[in-house]
Amino acid sequence: MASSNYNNFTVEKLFSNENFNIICNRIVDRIRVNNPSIDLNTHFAITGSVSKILQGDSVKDILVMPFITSNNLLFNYIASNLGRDVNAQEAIVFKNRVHLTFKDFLVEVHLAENLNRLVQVNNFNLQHKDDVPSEIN
Amino acid sequence: MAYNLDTSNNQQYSNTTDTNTQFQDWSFVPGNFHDVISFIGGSVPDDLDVSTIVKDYLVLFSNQYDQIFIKAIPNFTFSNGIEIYELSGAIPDATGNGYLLEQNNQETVTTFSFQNLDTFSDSYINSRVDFKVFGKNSNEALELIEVESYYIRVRRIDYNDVFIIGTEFFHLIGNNFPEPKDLYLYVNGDFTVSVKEHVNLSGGNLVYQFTAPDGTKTYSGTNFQIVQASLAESIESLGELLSYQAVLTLDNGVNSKQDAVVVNQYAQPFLDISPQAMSFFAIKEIQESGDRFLSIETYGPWTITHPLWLTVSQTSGEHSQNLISVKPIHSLNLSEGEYSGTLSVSSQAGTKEVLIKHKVVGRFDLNLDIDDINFTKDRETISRFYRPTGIAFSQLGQRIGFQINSRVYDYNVPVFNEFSAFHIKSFINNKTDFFFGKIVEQLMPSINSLNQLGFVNFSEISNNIIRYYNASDNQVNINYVDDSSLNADEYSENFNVFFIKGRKPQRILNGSGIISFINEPLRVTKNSKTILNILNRFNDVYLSKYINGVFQGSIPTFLNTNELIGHLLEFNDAVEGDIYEYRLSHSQEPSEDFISQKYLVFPENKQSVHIGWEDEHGLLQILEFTGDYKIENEITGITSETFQEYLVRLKRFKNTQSSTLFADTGFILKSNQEYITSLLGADIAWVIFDNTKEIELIPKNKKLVATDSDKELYAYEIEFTINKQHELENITF
Repeated sequence: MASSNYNNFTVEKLFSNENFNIICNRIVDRIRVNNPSIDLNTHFAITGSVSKILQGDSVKDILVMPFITSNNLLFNYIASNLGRDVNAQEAIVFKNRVHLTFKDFLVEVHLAENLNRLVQVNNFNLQHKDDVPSEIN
Repeated sequence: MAYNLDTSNNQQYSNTTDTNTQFQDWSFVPGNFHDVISFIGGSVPDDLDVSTIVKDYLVLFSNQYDQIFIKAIPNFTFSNGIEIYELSGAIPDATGNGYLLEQNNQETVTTFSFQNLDTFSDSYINSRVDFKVFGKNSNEALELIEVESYYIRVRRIDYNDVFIIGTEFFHLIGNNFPEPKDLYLYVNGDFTVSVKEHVNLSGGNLVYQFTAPDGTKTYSGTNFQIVQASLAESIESLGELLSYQAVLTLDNGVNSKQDAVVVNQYAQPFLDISPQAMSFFAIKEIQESGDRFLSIETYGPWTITHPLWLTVSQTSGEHSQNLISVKPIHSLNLSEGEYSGTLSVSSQAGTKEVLIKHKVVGRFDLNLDIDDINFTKDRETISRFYRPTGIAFSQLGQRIGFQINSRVYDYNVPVFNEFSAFHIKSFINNKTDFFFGKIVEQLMPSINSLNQLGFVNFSEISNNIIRYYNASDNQVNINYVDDSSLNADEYSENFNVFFIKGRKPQRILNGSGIISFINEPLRVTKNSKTILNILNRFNDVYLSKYINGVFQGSIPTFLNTNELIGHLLEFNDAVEGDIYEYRLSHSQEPSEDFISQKYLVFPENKQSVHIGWEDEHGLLQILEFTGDYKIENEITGITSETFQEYLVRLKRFKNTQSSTLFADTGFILKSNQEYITSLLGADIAWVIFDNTKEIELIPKNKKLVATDSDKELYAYEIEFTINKQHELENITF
């Protein structure tokens, strides 16, 4: 088991609403703790507008907090268990993505065939902004 | 650096159009039980292509089997010993073990090719195809997992028979008339077809013949025809119509059949839907939700929008429509929880909504707040357990075992005792339940004496804080267990839950709460002392004091995680009519987000006796009794006859004394009778003094002695037995 809880969203105050940072911390923490054999640095990242903003794009209001993974086992865990493990109000599993609904906050996790380029900014693992699929908010 | 990103006021997921869910149940298009109609002597019906999507057995059984195979087996395909159709497609054509299911071959087509239909006449054959699903591990035989069936009905109409199916129109008076609709006239040879007034027929080889005095029009024709029905302008003279039936009669001189052109005619646009609410329930892997059906009554086109966790058989249409199927997507695509949303129907007459709720539970429907506080008498936390049925689960244990390791804390000191127990329950009809709270409550201590709380009178309460117990900490492991050996199966669940005694109070605020089921203002006087009991799990909660709505100040309330504490409250400076309020919030300053307890200050009375008792949460409650009180002593002698100097004498050897306290509450709020009920339900109570030791009481019963109906005030006389330990003490007070 990991020695301490993941808290980078709180440390970096990604969202102005502290509750949203706590939700994101918990998501990454549960994924990390329950999948110790999978290297999240190469298989799990922030994507969408959040990733682009962290890589220098202009700031705008966030429509959804999007993550992405290229690992089928990780996606299967997220599809089967993450909603319950992070106390999401709702979790809907589609072929290629999972929608997680929290109070006043939407999170989604996409399944990609591969994650070519990942970059790290302030300890956040990000999909390279040029690789972010256009359909992801 | 701090990014401090804001979320949009209109948050939305990236893609809501691709609604293919990860787990797919069986699906057939056209839907199950399909009718195939043909004429004897006519042409053979076209092939029937059935789009077949196979249930996602790879998701369900990946842990149990290396491979999944499917075989399509037709049943009841013969008429007089001759096959009436042949089956083809990827699944029927597979040989050997059958169709090997893979990630990318679960969508296929199954084709029915009809033949030899003249071998039966004027009747129908119900036939079905069984899709048998097998699991296989290497070097082992196929194991049947499940069977899914697709039904068709092959219907034959005799050469001399006729067959007609009517249609339905919707019309808004003054609007354009609806487009004509096709009618299929199944008939051989010459025929006549007639229709009641206000409806016209045309097309095909129809020839108008005559109009009867009642307005019915008759046409003639030959052989099978597709003709058109339309509304006559005269129908508007009938005004609003609901299901006006214009009878259709098809006659070939030998047989005749009737149906109707149904007309619904309205004066203005409208929209009605039914029902206005739906609820669904599913148990993962065990029971899926059934369909609910929606009816739309409207004129003109309509559309439906709905949450993504729902499927709706038709999301747009025209005019009134019944039997629109609504059901949640398969529960394997949803996490456990309660889903709520709105299905909206929009037409030119506006929008109406159906409220939808859906509860998804797993095999283990715990109903507990995991890693959080629960209450032992909260019946909402009764857990329910299910055992999947079916061939694939035949090896699963027939009973369920609960290993509970409980840490139970003493009062006043952070000392705990540990208990470990294993409980087993059998399934009845593949379900059972378990009330964890009831088990844990039996382990938790009660207040036997005030000394247990670290004081015997008010002056000894340190810093006006009473320290009770920490919520009981329980580690639970649940397994299906084998019937005879009690060996645990692999499927298990481990979790932690905390328990406080009693029912769940209403006043809970993000990890904190006022722990009293009684949620009413309490009557006090300036002489009163009372206790406000709170739970605070985290260190950012403050107790703020307000007098008549004016903020007086606040104090932090956190001592230890999960510890229950009581604040001794006094009202020395209160004035009759004051309203004192203590608010619990996450802010040291006045906040709008709080829970509170109010105290209404009454005039003091001739007495002030404080009686405390243990409430259902195992916490102290205190009520000031302001009315009179009396103590009645009863002395009973134990006597025996003795013989002395030839005389019998009765001699008393011993006395026993019993004392009863009758105490009058004085006027209290009518709503405060819940405190009286709580007091009478307590096993033990105490008269608590400022400086002298408490007197222990056993509550017995109550009597209403006065009422003030104008002010809704009651006064009760409560009878207590004074515990015998005080027999030798001076108990006058």
